[in-house]
Amino acid sequence: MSLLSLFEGLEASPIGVFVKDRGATFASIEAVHLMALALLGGAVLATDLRLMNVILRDVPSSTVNQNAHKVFKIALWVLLITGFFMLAGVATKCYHSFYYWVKMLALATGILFVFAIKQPLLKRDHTLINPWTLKFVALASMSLWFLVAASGRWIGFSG
Amino acid sequence: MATPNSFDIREKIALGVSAVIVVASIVYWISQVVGALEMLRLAYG
Amino acid sequence: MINDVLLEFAQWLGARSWSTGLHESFYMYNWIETSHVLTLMLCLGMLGVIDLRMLGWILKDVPASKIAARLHKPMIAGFTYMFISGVLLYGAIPIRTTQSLWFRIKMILLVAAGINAWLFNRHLARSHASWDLIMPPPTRTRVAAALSLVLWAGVVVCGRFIAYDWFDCGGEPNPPFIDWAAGCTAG
Repeated sequence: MSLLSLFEGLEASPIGVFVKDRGATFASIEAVHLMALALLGGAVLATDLRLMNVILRDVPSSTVNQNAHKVFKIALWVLLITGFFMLAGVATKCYHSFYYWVKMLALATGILFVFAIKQPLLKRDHTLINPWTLKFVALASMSLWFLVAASGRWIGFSG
Repeated sequence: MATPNSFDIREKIALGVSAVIVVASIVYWISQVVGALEMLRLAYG
Repeated sequence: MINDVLLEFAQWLGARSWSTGLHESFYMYNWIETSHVLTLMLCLGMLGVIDLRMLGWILKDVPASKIAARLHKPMIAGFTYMFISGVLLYGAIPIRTTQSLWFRIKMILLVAAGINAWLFNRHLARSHASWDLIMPPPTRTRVAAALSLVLWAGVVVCGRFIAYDWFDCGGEPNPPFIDWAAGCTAG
């Protein structure tokens, strides 16, 4: 079973048919995807800009991170679920899209980075962490999630 | 309880991985800009 | 009639060379549209954090007024860019956008969100000292925050729906009310 046949199967499945049936279905799911994108962006930017000492400088970075991470997890779940439904509706187009695969690579890297590197690091006392480490982690995080969002939008313009 | 050594290693890994991601992003966006300029040259001459 | 005035303005705008140039551009329209959508991560992201604090759901130990004050500038920076890019996007396809039901609803919701924000900021400035760290925050604060989230969610949804042609003038026949609301004029 090839990857292409998996994608074709997803698009032909009851979920794919449901999403494609009416234009309003895909559009509504996409709108929810966008709202969750806004929340994820807020959580990522609040934490990462704080780690870079750009905003919220008089609020402990650990406080910002702990609170923002709760929002981040909820937003990420909504994005993954709505993203799966959207994929089902246009799976074959996505399979053939370069920017879809860039997005998936950035997404996988982003999830691994947040849960395996960033959050375990930030559980420690931030005052004991080298400020440059914090800044680079923040920059890497913003780069990844920006790439996920930008390549996601560009799928619509290609193919 | 993290020992001082394991703490340093974790921080070094975080810094190293982050640096790789940042550099890879810069390379990606430069290639995208170059590609876009090439397409614009083809489109508008 | 206001619809005729709006259509005349849109037709005038559509005849400008920059409008046609932007609409027919190879990349520029796509870049402006992409950046308009991505900037909502900054603008609505910061606003989302403020509203979630005002609802008493996150950052409960941080004074509400401090969150609002610290995140106001990045939010406004994001909104400024979204406004400018939004004007450019409108200017690129003025006639269809002017006669888009979803665009019109979006503008109404945008104004409503602005009024809600102005009223809330006035309330915050006058009274925050008495409720900055109270959990849960006062009802008025939570209602304003919930309304803000709902209105902005509406702005996002309507903004996304503009691209769809379900109620376009001159397309599939619309109910008369839709034609009136969208400003579909004869001829």
